[in-house]
Amino acid sequence: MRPDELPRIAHDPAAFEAFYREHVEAVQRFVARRVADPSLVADLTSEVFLAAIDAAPSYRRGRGAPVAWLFGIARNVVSAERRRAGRERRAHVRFQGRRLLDADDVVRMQERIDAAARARELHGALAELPEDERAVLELVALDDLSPSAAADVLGIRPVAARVRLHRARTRLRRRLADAPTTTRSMEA
Amino acid sequence: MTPTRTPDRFEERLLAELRQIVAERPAPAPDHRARRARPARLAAAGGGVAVASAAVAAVVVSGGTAPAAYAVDARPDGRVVVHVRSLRDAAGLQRELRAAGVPAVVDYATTAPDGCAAPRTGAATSGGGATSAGPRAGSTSGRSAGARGARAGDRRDGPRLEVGVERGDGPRLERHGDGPGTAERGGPGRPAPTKTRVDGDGATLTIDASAVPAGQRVWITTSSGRVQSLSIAVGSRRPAPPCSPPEAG
Repeated sequence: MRPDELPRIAHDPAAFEAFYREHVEAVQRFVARRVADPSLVADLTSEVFLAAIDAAPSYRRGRGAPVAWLFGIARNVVSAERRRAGRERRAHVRFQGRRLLDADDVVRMQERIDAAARARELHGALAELPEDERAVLELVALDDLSPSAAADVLGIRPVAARVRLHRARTRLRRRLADAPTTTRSMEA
Repeated sequence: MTPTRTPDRFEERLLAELRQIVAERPAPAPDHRARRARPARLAAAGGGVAVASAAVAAVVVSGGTAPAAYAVDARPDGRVVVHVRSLRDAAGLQRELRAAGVPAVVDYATTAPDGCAAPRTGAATSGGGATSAGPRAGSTSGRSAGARGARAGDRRDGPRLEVGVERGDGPRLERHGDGPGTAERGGPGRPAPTKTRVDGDGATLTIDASAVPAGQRVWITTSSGRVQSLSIAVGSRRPAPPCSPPEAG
């Protein structure tokens, strides 16, 4: 889908379907690299697309490629979930993607989650980095984006992303000097 | 976008729901946040009274110097808080709420006499949570047959609480806007998607759009044409207001 077509997904079901099919697998994997519960992966996946539908009319091309824009939304949805989980243990159940899951889906979802086990380990290890550095490293090391694609997701300039990435790696290397096993998964 | 593998069934089901949500969204507004009064289409469809009040709203708004009729605040936690000071510019409020992701219908028209619902003796409404006090005596819809509801505190000088049973959706707690107080709406196992608080300065509505079931809308209506009787409901149809709006309060 071309970037200038993206705003149409908010009100054109056919355009939305094309967008969804293009990205649904990537979004599920993105979430599974951060969350280990199949039901929650389903909920958050649906939330990401709902939020994309709401945000699409205000999408601007300067905001980067559609996939970067979508990952930016996914990041916000997952961090909102973390804040919420800490605060009120999901008292507010969102649009419940989980009610669409059947047993086979859960098995497939679980495979996706298992495949992302090391990524989640890394995600946990990043917890103590400063947020701006962590965000870049997460997208590059965890989601396999290039530094400039990560910059698009975060809405910052590519050079700023590279600087933060460098700082994050330095900091992490220093901090993980005592923990060689985690360092290995970092290099993966 | 050629799929290289068979999509999960979950993905197909989710796609179907999301497509429906997209299909129900309004076409993009050419210009958001116009201060010009634009009579709501839905208000016009409500009948003669509706048209009259829309016209009044247009006059008031074009005065231009009055304080904002409403304020919409999208909170970082996903909830949207609306403060309504006066019943003007329903279309503008609706547009802002939709921009904030709330599938809202704002209609300040008071319903024509034959469209109201007299006090209910326990009949349920259908259509997933429309607000209505009392039996739908004057209703032409004939949808009133249903489970019995219980009602407490039915006084004209205070909040009325009402529990009705609706097909397939569990009990709901309702309050009608006849005095200061707070109302939450929701079914069992599902958090209340909306909350209302009325005070001297107007009404504050809190909406958690993500807790609104797919395909349903958030209706913001008034039974008496006053801010104090502003009510909010979640459902697929416009709620019918009570026939005689309470005056005390």
